[in-house]
Amino acid sequence: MNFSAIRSRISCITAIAWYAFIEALRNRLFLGVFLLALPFAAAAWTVDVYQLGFQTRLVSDAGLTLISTLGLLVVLFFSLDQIIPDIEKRTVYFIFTRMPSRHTYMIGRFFGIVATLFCLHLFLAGLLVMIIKLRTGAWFNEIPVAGLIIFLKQSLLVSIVMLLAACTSKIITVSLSVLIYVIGHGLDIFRMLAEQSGNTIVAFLLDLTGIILPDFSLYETRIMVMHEIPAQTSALLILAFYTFTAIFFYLAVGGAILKRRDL
Amino acid sequence: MFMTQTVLELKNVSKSYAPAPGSSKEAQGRRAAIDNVSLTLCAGQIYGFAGLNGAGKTTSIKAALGLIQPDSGSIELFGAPIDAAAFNNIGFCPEKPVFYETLTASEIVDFSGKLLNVNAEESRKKQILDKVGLYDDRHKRVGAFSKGMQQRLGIACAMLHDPALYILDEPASGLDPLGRRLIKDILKELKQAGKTVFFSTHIISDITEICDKIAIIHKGHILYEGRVDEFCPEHKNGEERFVKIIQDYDNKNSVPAAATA
Repeated sequence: MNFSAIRSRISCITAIAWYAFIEALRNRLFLGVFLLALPFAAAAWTVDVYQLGFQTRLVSDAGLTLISTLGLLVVLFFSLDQIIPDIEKRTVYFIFTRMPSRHTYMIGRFFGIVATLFCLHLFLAGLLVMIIKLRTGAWFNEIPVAGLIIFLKQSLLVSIVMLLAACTSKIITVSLSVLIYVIGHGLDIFRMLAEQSGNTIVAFLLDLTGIILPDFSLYETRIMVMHEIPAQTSALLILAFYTFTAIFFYLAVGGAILKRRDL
Repeated sequence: MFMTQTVLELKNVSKSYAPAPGSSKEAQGRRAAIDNVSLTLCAGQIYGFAGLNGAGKTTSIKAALGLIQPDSGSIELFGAPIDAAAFNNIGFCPEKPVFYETLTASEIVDFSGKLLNVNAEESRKKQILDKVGLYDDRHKRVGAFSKGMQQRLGIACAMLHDPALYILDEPASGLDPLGRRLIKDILKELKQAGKTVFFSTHIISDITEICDKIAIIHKGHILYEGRVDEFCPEHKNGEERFVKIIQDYDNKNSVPAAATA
């Protein structure tokens, strides 16, 4: 592939991502997600629990849980809104008769949703940091780091939803995405139980699962926030590398499946 | 010399589909949507692709554009197998164009241009949106557009980059008489500009009025391909000829009831 082809592909990815982002911002559901955060913000502001450090951590943890939950809603609803309706309503004709690479389409749509997710995380994490700062006078540095970890986790989930959306129906995509999310979160617990029981076959199967499915237990933030443990840069870099590799893999597979699909 | 350059060629293209889940026993087995379809479109021609609903027109067009993978046969665009570069020379408008509903008409045109690496300048946007009568509605969201307006926007997007080849799938379907007249005028303008146009329709009078060449597809088979003036000299009785070709095919291929009893 020559330089001009690469430039042209990047330009297509940027256009697809930009308009996916615009679409998401104009979606009433996105506004609804923001409105859902308001009661929490009001409660965090009004409840007088900031005298003791522990309560601050509790508010942070609850806030991060809310960010995670709202992010999950964005991932599921907006990622699903990308590929399946595009194929069902034949909107993809608009794209594939101008830019035929289906991988480019997948990557563009992925970045559109990830940009939407980033805006949500930035706004909510910023709001949480500001509330705590204004009430306690201290910066709670673990929140931006934890927010970044949750963002990485949910970006990975977006790629999984898009892979599933490229080959199955909406209902199967939702069911499998939630299942993979739950299994991925429980992998460390399952591994610990397998080690305790001494069952080597189960341990092997779990290791195999950890290779095929993403290990969401790596993205645990609660302990870090509750105990104010500073995140190590090297650990964050390894986590980011793992996330990008997994995203690349799932999008590549999704694009290959979409390429074989009749539209 | 220019007229003989082949722009689009389908050679023995076949495509069949698996039966829909839950279909009856009689309907089991793959259904051929198109069977050994061969077409040749030369530069500068206006080619009418006629057929009844479900005859295989859209499937042929989708195969030509690489939207579906044919089971067999070959397709060449501008003398080469389909590749990304070919799309810069094609303007396509599907039968029922569907756009992203929250985007405005102006954004859709911009989006279309960016996918083709064409910078849609304001003057060009104005020119094409004016041509299809949508310039005043350019800031309206496409979700609020009527079917006819979406169809006209589809035509505008197809024209944006001034391609050499236009592939239009039933461009006049769902349009009111004024909309149909507009599309016909645009097709005539394209013909005068020396563009190559391939369009499908089941309105034979549109073909006899505008086209140089006609192909008739029925039940996935090409029954006729030739010049329009040979198909209906002096543009008369085109519809009768079309119906006769189809009826002859059906009579020839129908199994007598007595033979199946």
